[in-house]
Amino acid sequence: MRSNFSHLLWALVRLRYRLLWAQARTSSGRIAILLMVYLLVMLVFLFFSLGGFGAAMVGVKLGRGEAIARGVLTSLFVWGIMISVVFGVGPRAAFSDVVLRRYPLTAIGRLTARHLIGLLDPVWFLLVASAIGLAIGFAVLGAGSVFVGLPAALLFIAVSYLATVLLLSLIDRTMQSGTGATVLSAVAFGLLSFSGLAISWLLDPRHVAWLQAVDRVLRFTPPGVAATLLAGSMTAAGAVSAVLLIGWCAALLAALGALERRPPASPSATSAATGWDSFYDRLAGLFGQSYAPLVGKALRYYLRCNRVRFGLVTAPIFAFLGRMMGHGDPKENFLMTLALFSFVGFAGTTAIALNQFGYDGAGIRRYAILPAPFAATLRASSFTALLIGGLMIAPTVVLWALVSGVTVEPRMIVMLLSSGVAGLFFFNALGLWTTVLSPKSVDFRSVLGNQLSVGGNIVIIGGFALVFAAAFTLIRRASFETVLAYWWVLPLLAVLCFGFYALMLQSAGKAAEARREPLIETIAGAGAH
Amino acid sequence: MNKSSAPESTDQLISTRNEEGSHGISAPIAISIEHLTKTYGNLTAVDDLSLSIPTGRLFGFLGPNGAGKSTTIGCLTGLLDPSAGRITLLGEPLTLEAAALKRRIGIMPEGLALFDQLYAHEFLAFNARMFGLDERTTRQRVEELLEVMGLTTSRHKRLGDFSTGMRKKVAFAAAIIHRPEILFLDEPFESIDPAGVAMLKDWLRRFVAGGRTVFMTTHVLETVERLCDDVAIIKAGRLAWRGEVGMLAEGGAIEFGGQRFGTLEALFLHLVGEQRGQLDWL
Repeated sequence: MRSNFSHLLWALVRLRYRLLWAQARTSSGRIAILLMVYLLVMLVFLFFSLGGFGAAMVGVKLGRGEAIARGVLTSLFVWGIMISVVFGVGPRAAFSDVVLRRYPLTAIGRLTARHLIGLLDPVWFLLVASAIGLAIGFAVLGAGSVFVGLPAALLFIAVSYLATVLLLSLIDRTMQSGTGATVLSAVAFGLLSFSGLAISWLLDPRHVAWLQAVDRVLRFTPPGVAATLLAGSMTAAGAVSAVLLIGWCAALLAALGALERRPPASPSATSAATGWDSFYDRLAGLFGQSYAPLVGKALRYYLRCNRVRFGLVTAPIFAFLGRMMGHGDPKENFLMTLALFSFVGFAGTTAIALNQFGYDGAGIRRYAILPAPFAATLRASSFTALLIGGLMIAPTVVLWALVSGVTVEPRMIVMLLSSGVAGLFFFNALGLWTTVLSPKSVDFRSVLGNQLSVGGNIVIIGGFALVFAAAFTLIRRASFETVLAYWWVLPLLAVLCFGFYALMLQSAGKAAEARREPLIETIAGAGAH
Repeated sequence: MNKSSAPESTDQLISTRNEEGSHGISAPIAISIEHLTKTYGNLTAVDDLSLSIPTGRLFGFLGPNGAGKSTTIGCLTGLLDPSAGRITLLGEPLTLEAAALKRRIGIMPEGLALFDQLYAHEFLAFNARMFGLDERTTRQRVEELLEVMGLTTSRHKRLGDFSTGMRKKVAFAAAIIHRPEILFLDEPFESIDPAGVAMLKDWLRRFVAGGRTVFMTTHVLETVERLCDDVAIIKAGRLAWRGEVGMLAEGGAIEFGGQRFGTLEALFLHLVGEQRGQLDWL
């Protein structure tokens, strides 16, 4: 029986890797390969420098082995969580408890299989390599014991995994509830807005007492207790740390078990927008008889998508980020804000605007059989993104005016509004093309991981690089007064971006008509014929 | 008794039908397919297919898996672009710009093509509005369809949470909501409960009795025998047989290639070949 279980487990792990490989072979998976190569290089770098011998050597030489180990392990711990949220690592839907019930596995067997598959995800190898490298490094240099360090490193990996899975599970369940997006947005907003400020405040020499207090607290966290074990032998303090690490593991396991025993709320059971003259249809009516039904459908998809909701609620964060990035200098503050504002109208809707058919699944076929050009659906969805994104710009400008800390003058307001409008049209124009040329079928209910297609990622990364390059150039080469004197450039840029959008609307529409069949096949799946 | 044979060429089939007035019924042609070919790379899914179907007929389009049925429906409904050939519906050529023509046809495509994040009434209203129905008619028909389809209790569920049978009912409702002149149905009865199937069959009979046309694919041959007037069987994208099947329900037989077939299943297996295989371990 045990042999059967191990065979089945092995088969599931192989299936997980086959699925990964299958995804990697798709066009959108190629970016994943690039990232994996990057991660591999980073792994080697970490193993030989920060994570392994290097960190251990530095720590031992400086006589601060434990502190450095704590720093490295804390970074790994946070990095593991962050990369899991971004890439959606951890137990997958394809290996959920419900799916695994089709196999002859007991409840314990399913639990083991799920988490073993999650733990064997390639991304965790980086953590494993770094933590083990650190343990071996300390042991070789005589500052630690391999018999204590290695089990501690493995236990640390297990705790990191459990903490990540618990957090992902919490995020997933919170997002499924009606107010989840708002709650999480508030948390993300707070973390993004104030963590940077808090860290810089702590690093100020005047607040060293606070820093020491935080350091004392960190000693009791999983990375802290693991660092004590890695950089020391089994002393009394080591024994306490071992008990604490095992305690963390047990507590996280218990919390995860308790969470998983609670059935998730059904999102549709709590939604009841069944009125006829709904908000969606009234708003869609603005686009005329022929577009109204398509815009109405698109509006429902945009505003029911948790990723979009999250994006919309967090978009006002751009009002604060410029101040954080401006280092207290009004010119830098304003120019960074100006750059960031080009994303205000687009940031919230990116999940759909860059891949407009991606969430339709088999529904994309309906566009081809409707008595309307296929391109009309592309235009309608793009108009919807413009409408929703456009509504974000003015309130964020007002918010910025309230919190910016600089003397606000009308030219600044015009510039910020224009930056928002220019970005709105420019990025939505690019979104038309990524929709047509780089489509990707994505899960509407998934809230974790980077679901953008290759083209979508290029637009986001390239877009940020472009606007920040412009902002940094202005910061270095132009005075604040000069920037303000040329305020009219931005409204002009907005008009140009509108023209660019109008042109793209036509050309991408034609391309969508021409690529209708491959688009349908990509989104609805092979077998569309 | 119906005597029919495999056409030597699809051209011959068309000319014969036109001369005979489509099995003796002098009705205008609702669906005309001329030399339809659809290829995917090296694969020819539909190979020089020609058919003409008069109005007021319930037409069954049969074939084994992968024979090209859904591809043919895809081409007939504008979902797919034919690689070659010509399609005429209700006397008008089907093109990408044929929006007015598309308003006259109803489609229940393969995979159903539902928007999973909409509620059933939203989805039906969306279709009704796209097909040009005014708000009052839309509201009235949506309520009525949800009521008769037994979907009113599921108003608060999104389509993604519907069972397969319920999804089929919604797709069927979307196909008929604008009262089309031709109805294309890709496997309409599978997964629907028996009462629902009986109701749909009754609707289809009344639909064609009103002078409209149904083009339907299914694997349930008994249903085709009892429901359809005409049947075509395709194999590997080519027309293998075309004829009437109404006599089977009255105890008649189809004569083909010097043999008599008392059921459509017997003819189907004769044409496409029986699948045989021994699983000794089973």
